[in-house]
Amino acid sequence: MGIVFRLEEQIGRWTRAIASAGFLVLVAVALLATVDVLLRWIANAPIKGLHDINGLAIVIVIASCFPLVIAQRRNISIRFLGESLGAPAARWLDAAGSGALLAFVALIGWQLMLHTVSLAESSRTTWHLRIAVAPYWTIATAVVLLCIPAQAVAFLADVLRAATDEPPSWRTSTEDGDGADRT
Amino acid sequence: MSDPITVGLLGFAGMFVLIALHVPIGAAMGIAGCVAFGLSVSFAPALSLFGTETATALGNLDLAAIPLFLLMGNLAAAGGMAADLYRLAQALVGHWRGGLASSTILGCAGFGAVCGSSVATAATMTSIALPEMRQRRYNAALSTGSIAAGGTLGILVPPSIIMVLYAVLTEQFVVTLYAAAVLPSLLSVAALMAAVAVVVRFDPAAGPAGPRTPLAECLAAARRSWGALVLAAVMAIGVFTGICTVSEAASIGTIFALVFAAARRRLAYAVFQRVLVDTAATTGMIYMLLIGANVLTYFVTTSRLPEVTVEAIQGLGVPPMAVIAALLALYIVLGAVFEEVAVMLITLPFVLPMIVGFGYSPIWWGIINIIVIEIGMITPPIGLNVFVVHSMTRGIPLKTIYAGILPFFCAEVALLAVLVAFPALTMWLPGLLDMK
Repeated sequence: MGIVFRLEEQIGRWTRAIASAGFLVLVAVALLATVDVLLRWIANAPIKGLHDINGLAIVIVIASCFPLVIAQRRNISIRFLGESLGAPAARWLDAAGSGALLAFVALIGWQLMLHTVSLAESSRTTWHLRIAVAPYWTIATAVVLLCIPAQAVAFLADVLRAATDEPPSWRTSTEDGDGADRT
Repeated sequence: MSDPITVGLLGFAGMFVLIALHVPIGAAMGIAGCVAFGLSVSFAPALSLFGTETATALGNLDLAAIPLFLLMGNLAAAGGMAADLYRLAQALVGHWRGGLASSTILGCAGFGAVCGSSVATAATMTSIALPEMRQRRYNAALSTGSIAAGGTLGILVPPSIIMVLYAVLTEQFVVTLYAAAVLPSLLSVAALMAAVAVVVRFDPAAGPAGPRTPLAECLAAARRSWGALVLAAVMAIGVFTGICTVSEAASIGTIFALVFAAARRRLAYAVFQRVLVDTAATTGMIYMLLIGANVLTYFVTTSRLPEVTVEAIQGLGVPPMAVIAALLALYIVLGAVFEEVAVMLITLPFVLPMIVGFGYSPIWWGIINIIVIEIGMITPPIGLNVFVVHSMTRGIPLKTIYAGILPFFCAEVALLAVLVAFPALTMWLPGLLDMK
């Protein structure tokens, strides 16, 4: 049981590192866009093909935050029912919600993989610079696929917590029971 | 089962059951939309929606304004811009009776112009304004009420993150929405400040007057706020004059806020790391909601449920304004229970076709929708902003905060009634700028 909880913490560290790296890319995107606006405004000389580059970078940036959301349980859920039924029932409902989220991210990962395969097969490129898009989508898809093991561990941890009546360590709900929470 | 209307209704019922069973809202929308679409059409295309809708969301450069605005807001907060704006407002109106509460409203509006999120605005202002009001012996209800209510301005004052989402989902021009939000934002600030004035009129001890700030200190506060003022001005000028797109304005704002915070030596490595991770977590949460909502929207559109509902309502002879009033009441209830973005995403595929079917502008509805969600965020029994303030102010009971909210709630409802009754107020600036 301890292994699952330790793994959960380890995944939390990895996903923070991935998201930080992704959002450093966002800062680079912002910097390039700023330079582009200034060049366009001052010298009427925009950076050629920047739209293509930013379009590919943003795919990876956004994908990089999905595993973090899973690991930090930042998805919004409503917990009225659990709070009215008592803590043990709430933990089992949390586990059920976690299972449904696992199905959701598995569907997203699987179908995004098929989408990326079709991009690779059609040798799709960007409009101006003719950069092949498949490698970038492959990176993004690989990052999104990390959500599946991350959520599987979270689901297992939730089931273990429900079975052993251990309070969830990640709960951020207020003491007054606001009913809304992040799972 | 092939009747799309029946499947549509079952789909919505299934979504609410899943939400009640602690399933995250994004997943509940996605799963319910996929199953309902699968039952009414076929499961192969229903499953493929998860791929196409995710790819569409990831590759949409218009939506990239969302993480950029979030990053800009977090960097602006780290750089101390919210505190600067509050100090400026305090220097200008802090000596009035209830002046610190009014300063909070103005500070929230100012920070909303460089942040775009209600919760972030309320959280930031709680840490800045509440200690000042406590020191000046302000009534706890007025102090916390003004922060929770002022925080809602974060999503109404442009640039607003929720407006970017609304514009993408409804295929509207986000700059038109920003223009439409300008007058309602000013009216909202005026209404909230009027509420403060009414409170201190009846209970002068709730917000005692303070000493007038000397002109030299006012000028010093203005100088210290230059960063926030320049940031808001650059973005507004850039977007409204067409020099740059909204995403580009968000990029410029992000770099400006980054350099500003670094120059003030307020961006240590640990702070920068926290800003990046917080921004990523909120971005991911919004995108997960969006993917689920897009799957649901696809199904709702194909089910023709909104059109059938509009036809049924029109057949009953119920005046559109009565339907809109009922919708607004429903939104206030939903906004009290759900998170702001979730409320909009869950209801939009169903509600917008009805509104457009009645002949109203989707731009007008966007602003009304956001104001009513704002009201929901301070409405008992939940009210997200109230809980944000409460979680940061141990020792002040929830009922005190709700008592403090009441005058602001009344002011916001009155403003909503005016904007619903007179759509021209919202559409005035877009019309003036030839954006309609």
